[in-house]
Amino acid sequence: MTPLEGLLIVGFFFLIILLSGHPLAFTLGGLAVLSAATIWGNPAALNLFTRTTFSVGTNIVYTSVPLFIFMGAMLERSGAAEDLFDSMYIIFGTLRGGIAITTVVICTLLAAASGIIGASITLMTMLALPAMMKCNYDTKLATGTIMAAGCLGVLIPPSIILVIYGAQAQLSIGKLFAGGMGAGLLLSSLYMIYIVFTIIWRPESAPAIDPAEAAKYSHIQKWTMFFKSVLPTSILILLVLGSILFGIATPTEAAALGSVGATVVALYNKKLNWEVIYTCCQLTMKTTAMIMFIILGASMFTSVFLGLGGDDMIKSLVADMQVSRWVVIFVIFIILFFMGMFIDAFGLLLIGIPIFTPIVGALGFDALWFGIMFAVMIQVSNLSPPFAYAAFYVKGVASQQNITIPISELYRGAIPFIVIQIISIIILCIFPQIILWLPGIIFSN
Amino acid sequence: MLLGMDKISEGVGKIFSLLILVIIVLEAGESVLRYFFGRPTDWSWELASMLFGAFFMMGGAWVLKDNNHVRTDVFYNLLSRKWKAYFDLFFFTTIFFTFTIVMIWKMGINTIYSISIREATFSMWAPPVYPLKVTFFIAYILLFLQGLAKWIRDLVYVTKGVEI
Repeated sequence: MTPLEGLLIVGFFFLIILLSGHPLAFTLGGLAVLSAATIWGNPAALNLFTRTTFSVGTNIVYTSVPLFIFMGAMLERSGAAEDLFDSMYIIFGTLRGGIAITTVVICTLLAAASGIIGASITLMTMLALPAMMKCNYDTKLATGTIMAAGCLGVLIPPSIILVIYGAQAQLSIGKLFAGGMGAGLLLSSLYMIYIVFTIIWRPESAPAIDPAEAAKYSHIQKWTMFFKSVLPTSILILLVLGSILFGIATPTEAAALGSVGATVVALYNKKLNWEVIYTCCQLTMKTTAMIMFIILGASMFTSVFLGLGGDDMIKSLVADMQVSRWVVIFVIFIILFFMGMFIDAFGLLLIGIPIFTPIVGALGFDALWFGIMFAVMIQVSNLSPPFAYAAFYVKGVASQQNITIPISELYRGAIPFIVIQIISIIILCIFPQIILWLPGIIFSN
Repeated sequence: MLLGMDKISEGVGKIFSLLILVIIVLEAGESVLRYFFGRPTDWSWELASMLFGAFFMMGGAWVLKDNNHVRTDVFYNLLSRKWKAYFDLFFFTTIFFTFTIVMIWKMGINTIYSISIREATFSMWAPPVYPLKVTFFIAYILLFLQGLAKWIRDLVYVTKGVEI
C-alpha cells in the first residue's frame, strides 16, 4: 500500500466516524491506535502513545490552559464586567447604538483579560442582551454583536487557541500573542464601524435608552463610576499581557498571576466565597479535560499521520502545483470555512495544523501570519451554521434569562459579522504588517 | 453499580479539580520569587506540569459521564434516542474500547516497568515519574469503566426500552 492509499483510508474512516457523532477525542485516539496496528503496520507505535500521554500530560505550555480557564471563570464571577457595563450603559446608552458599541468595547477588554470566549459571551448575553431588548434593538443586530464580539478572545491575547496553536505548530506563544493583538483590534474596530453604519442606514434598529435613566447621575458621578469600573480590568490586562510581552513571566506564569488577580478582583467586589472558588475549580477541570483529551487524541493521530508520510506527501503535492501560492492559501481558507461549519474550534485547530502548516511553510508564507489567520478562521467557525458554537452559547444563556430567540434568528444575525470577518481576512492578506508589526518590534532582538 | 461508577467518576473529578489551586500558587509564586527575589526554584515548573497532567486526566471520566466530550453532532442530533444508542453502541465498541483498552494495556506495562526501575526525570530536581504514570493508568481505567457504564445503559435501552 502506498502512503497515499493509507492516508485516504484513514481519512475516509475519520470523516465517517466524526460525522456519526462519536466524541472527537476518542475518534482521534481510537483511529490512531487502530491505524498504527494495521495500516501503518507499526505496533511498536502503540508504546509511543504512552509517551504521548506523558509528554502532553507534563507540558508546561499546556499547563497554562487550565490557568487561563480558571482566570476567565473567576473573572466572569468577579463582578468586574457588571460594573463596567453599568457605568458604560449610563454614559453611552443615551446614544443610538450605544449599547451595541459598549458591548464591543467591553468584549475587547474582556478578551484581553481572559483566554476563553465562553465568559465574554455569557456575560454579555446576561448584561447587554436584556438591555438591548428593552430598548427595542433589532434582535439580529443585538445577538450578532454579542456573538461576534464575544469571540474576539480567540484572537486578542491571551488566548487558549493561540497557546494550543503555538504548542502544536512550535511557534513562540509570546509572538503569537503579539500578532493576535493587531488582527483582534482590526476586527473589533470593523465591528464598531459596521454598527455605526447600521445606525445611519436603519436608525430604528438600535434606539437609545430613555434619557431619564442616565439623567439621575451627574457628569462627575458618571465618570467616577466609569474609572472605578475600568480600573480592575485594566490592571488585570496589564498584569497578564504586560508580564508576557515584556518578558517578565512565561505565559503559564502570567496565567497563574491572572488567576490570582481575578480572584482579588472578586474579593474586592465582595463576590468571593468558597462556593465560587469550588465552582471555578470544577468548571476549569471539566473544560480542561474536554480540551486536553482532544489534544491527546490529536497528538496520537498526528504521529500516525506523520508516520504514514502525510507530511512529505502534502509537501510534494504542493510542489507539483502549477498555481499561484495565493490560490492555494485561498483554497485552504475555503476548506477551513467548510470544516468550521461542522467541527468545533478545537477540532478545527488540531486537525488543521498538521495538514495545513506544512503546505503554508512550503509556499513560503510567514508561519506567524498564518497562525493568526487560522485564528480568524476559527472565529468564523464559531459563528457559521449549522455548528455555530457562539449561537448555541447565546441561546443557552438567553433562555436562562427567560429570553427565547429562535436559532435561525441567531444564524441570520451572524451573517453580516461573518462577512466582516471575511473582509478582515482580505485586509490581512493585503496588509500582513497589521499582524507582524507588533511582534517585530517587541521581539526584534 | 452503574450509579456507583457515576459517583466515582464525579467524586474523583471533583477532588482532583482542587489541584488547580495548587498549580496557581506554584506558578504565581515562582514568577514572584524569580522577579522580585531573584531566587527561582528548580522544581516548581516541573511539579506544576505533573500536577496538570494528573488534573486533566482524572477529569476525563467525569466529562464522559456528563456527556460533555465534544461531538460533531450536526447529524447525530437529528437521530432518535434509539438510533443514538445504536450509533453509540457501535462506535464505543469499535473505537472507544479499542482506544481505552490499548492505552490501559500499554500504560500498565509502562507503569510497572517505571516502578521496577524507580524511573526519575532528567531534570535538576529529578523527581520519580511513576506516581504520575500510576495516575494516568488509573485515569484510563476510570475512563474505560465510565464508557462501559454508558455502553450497558445504551444496550439496556435498545433491548428493553428503559433508561437506567
